[in-house]
Amino acid sequence: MSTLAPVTHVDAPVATDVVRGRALTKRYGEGDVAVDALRGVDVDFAPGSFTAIMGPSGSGKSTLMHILAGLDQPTGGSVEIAGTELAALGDHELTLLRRSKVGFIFQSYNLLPVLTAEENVLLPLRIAGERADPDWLETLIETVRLGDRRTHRPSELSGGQQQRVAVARALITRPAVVFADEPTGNLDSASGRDVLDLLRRAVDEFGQTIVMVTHDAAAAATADRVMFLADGRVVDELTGLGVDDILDRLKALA
Amino acid sequence: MIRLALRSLGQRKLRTALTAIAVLLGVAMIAGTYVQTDRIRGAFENLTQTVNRGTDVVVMPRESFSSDLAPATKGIDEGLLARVRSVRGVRLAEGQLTDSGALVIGGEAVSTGFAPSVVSSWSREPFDAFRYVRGGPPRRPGDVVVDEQQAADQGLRVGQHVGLSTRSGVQQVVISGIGEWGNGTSIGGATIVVPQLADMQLWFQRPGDLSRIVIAADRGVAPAQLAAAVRSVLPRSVTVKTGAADAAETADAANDAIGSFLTPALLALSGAALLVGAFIIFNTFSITVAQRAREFALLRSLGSTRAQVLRAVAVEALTIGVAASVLGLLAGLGIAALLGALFDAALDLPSSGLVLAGRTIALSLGIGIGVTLVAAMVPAVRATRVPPVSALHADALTVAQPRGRRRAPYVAAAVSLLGLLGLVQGLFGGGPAATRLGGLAGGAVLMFVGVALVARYVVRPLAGAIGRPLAFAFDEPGRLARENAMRNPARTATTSAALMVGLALVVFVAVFAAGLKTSITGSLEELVRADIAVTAKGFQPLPPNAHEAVRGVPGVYASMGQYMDAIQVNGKSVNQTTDTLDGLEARLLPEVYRPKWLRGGSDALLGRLRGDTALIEEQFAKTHAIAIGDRFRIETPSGGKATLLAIGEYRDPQILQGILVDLPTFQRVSALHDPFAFFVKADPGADRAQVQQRVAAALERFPTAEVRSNEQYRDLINEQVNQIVYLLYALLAMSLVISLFGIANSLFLAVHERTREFGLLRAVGATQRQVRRVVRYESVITAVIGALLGTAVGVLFAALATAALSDLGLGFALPAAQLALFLVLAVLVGVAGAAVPARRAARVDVLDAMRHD
Repeated sequence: MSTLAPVTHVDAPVATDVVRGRALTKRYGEGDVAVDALRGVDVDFAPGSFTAIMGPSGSGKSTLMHILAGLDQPTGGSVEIAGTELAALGDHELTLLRRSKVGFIFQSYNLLPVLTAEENVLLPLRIAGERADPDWLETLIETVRLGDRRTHRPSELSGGQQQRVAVARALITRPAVVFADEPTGNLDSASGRDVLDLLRRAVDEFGQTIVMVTHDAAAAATADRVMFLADGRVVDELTGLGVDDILDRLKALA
Repeated sequence: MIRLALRSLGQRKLRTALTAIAVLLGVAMIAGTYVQTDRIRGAFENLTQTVNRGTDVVVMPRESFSSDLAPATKGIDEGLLARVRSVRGVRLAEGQLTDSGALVIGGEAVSTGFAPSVVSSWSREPFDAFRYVRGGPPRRPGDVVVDEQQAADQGLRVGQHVGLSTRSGVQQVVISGIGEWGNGTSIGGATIVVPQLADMQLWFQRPGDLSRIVIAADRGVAPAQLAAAVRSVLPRSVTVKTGAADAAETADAANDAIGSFLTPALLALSGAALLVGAFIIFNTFSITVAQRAREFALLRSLGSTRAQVLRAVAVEALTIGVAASVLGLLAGLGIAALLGALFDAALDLPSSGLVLAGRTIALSLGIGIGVTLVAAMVPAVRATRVPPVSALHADALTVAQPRGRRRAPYVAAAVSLLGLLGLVQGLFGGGPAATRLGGLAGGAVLMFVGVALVARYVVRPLAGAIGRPLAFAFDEPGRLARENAMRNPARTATTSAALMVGLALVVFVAVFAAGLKTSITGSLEELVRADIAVTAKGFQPLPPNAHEAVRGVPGVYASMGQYMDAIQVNGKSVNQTTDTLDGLEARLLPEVYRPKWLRGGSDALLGRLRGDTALIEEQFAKTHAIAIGDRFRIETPSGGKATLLAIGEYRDPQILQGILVDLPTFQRVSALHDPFAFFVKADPGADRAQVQQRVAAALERFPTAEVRSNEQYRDLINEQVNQIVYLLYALLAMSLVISLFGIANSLFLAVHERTREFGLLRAVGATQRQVRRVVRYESVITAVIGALLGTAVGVLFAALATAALSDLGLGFALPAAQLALFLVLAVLVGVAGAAVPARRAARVDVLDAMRHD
């Protein structure tokens, strides 16, 4: 711990977008069999925003998220996370960026079976060789209501509990952005509701930026903004929608 | 179903390949070992046939009994040759004389360590065993033929003048020819020099003496018939055999002599290979079948019966087993070639061409296919017991581990215990050698299997302990590696068991050899008072005038000759080591040797050592049930007999074994009239190094004599032990290499199984290097567990073996530095085994991994 005055993050954009995608295209295959998953997408995600990306199967929503998260390379266009242009980064730098700036929540939880709940939460910090801020850890554990389960292994937890561990894991490094890929896809509606509430609180209470891919209208309704994709293009972008509005909009797209 | 099974093999190429490699390696080791054993046997047969070339009937001195230690030197009277030639049916008869002696080049006697240096008289065709490469037979007095190997090693050429050490000193000889002996095979490092018979009789002071008469029969005369006819004209002091019978006996004897060391070594080697291979095959199938539990469940929920699913697995296993075993058999030829090179380098043992015997094929294929089938079916039966519905559930994949049956730990312990009993019976029990050897081998195998079974119950704490420093030093990757090593104890146990087997044998050899060395050093220090030991190269006797030369050296206080012969006691041969007769000058003995008296004996007994009295060594007393005050009969191979009175007992299982008698008594019964060693004591206060130098100078005329201080003698023994130890290490290294594949194999499968976990690690910010570490350290932990278990088992084996041989003065010593080195080696095996799987884990594509289910 440094005794110097706290260092301000010089690379942290002030009041500018956390994630920015410009003219993103993605083409799979070549020639006649080529498939265009993204056909020129421009997206921006402001700090503390909660965005849901929706669209029918094959609309390119997952591809978009993977590219924004630096897990996949676009065929064309550029991505910036917290002011860093991803195209210039090698695998190692990308890994380090993910480590410090990005959190992930997956549909199938993806906890390490050999670690306890708390160890799974701490995993990203431990990999980075950093110590956890004990207050932050306590806050998170309390928020996801795992106080009595911290020493349990994933096999001893229900699906909802496992996904709550995953949420805490995504938040532990205070990342610039959390990407959630169908976080409620494997859960019953009560557990799903629970996880969505947690995401909402993360945005409201901790100012977390969240980008969530989902095909569940109820989940999307939790977000501030819903982005609709179809055939690799953003076709609509709305805020303050209810579940019914979203369902109508989806029907229109399909 | 069968079509499905075959298609599944094709589609899962990696898994199929890994399983096949496990089978292939195991089978290759077994086949290679057997092929090499056959090559050595073949070479000996070839050799003895060469020696008996053209010989239909052979006449040899009758030995009371035969002994490797002391071949009969009392020969046949040359006069009998005329009688043999007069027998009807004898076409040709020639006398041959054999003794020991080496070429002397530049004042140094040519010697190759263990192997004998033979001088044998030349016989004309059809008996001439040489195929001349250059020059020809010895035509003039002083001519000699030498074997091609020796000529190549020493750079000899035809016409060269060299020395030949003989009983009458170094003779100047001329090389008349260089010949190939047998089919160009090495003769086990032995050297052969072939002069004319008359020269030999002169040089070795054996006028009118022959070692054997070789006879060629007339056309149409059966050797057996001729042998009977020859026998009828000769005295009972000789024995008559057909050449074929003699060749077979000699080959058997040579094989037995070498085999007494080699056969157990090779058996242990192939047994280890088999076990290691079986562990790997079993483990690979356990993992792959567990991974496919879901596939089986799907098949079952679609209406397949359990029997159908099992049949499909059996077809798969059979296909892999047959294909990989056949390939393994071929690879075994390569391993045999490797083993051959190894034996040639270490012991200069002969080998003939590659022999693929029916026994080798049957055993290799049978074991390969059998083990594969069993290894595949056991986990398959287990997997199909899982109810289809629960197996279809996603989580079933990672928890497919069978619930521990309550009896399993007891079974594991019982198997180990049974193995221990087998070992103890084999080592300490009575009964015929074959039963005991069976007990040993079976015990060792059971022990290994038992420990492998027990291992799964100790893997968790062991992995935890070994992983702790790793977790501390390498942080999260270390911690994850530790947890991964602990997550499936059965798998980690079986994987490490493969390494355990090889390492246990390595440790056994190391500990046993350390015990051997310390006990020999110990008795040298404790019992020997002499300062200098003089022996001859190649276990020959020393030349007759050498002792006078030593005794005349200023500064030599006393020099005692040691004479040795083999004996039969009360008409029985029991043990080659204890059935020996030492002839010593009793007067000089206390100057050079400090007997360790038993039963109240003292040096005063030495004063009574003359005439028919003898001192008996403890082992001799035990094996023949002879006590102080008893009379017993002895007989030497040359037929000398005496009845001796045991007047005292002493303990020395290493230097002066058997019984001690005064020199005149020895000379009365033995035909061996030259000593094997001198024990030399320097004057008190004299500079020992200087005396040693003077002794060496005085013996310059006798180039076979070697002069060593006690320290040098001890080093020599250590070196000889090391030579064998290193050979065994080299042999066992192969089983270590195989276990390396075993580790790589199961890591590969584990990485495949945990693709998702590695993908997640990468997603949350683990670098490729960190992921590689997770795999590597898990491998190191597994390897170190194998090493610890192997060390424990190896030390136990060695402790049992030394305890069983404690009568022979063998002590127990732990070579700590070496054991530490083995541990380091195990870590390296772990790192090497992880190399490829770790890279694969690190290259896992995050997106693929997340889609993977």
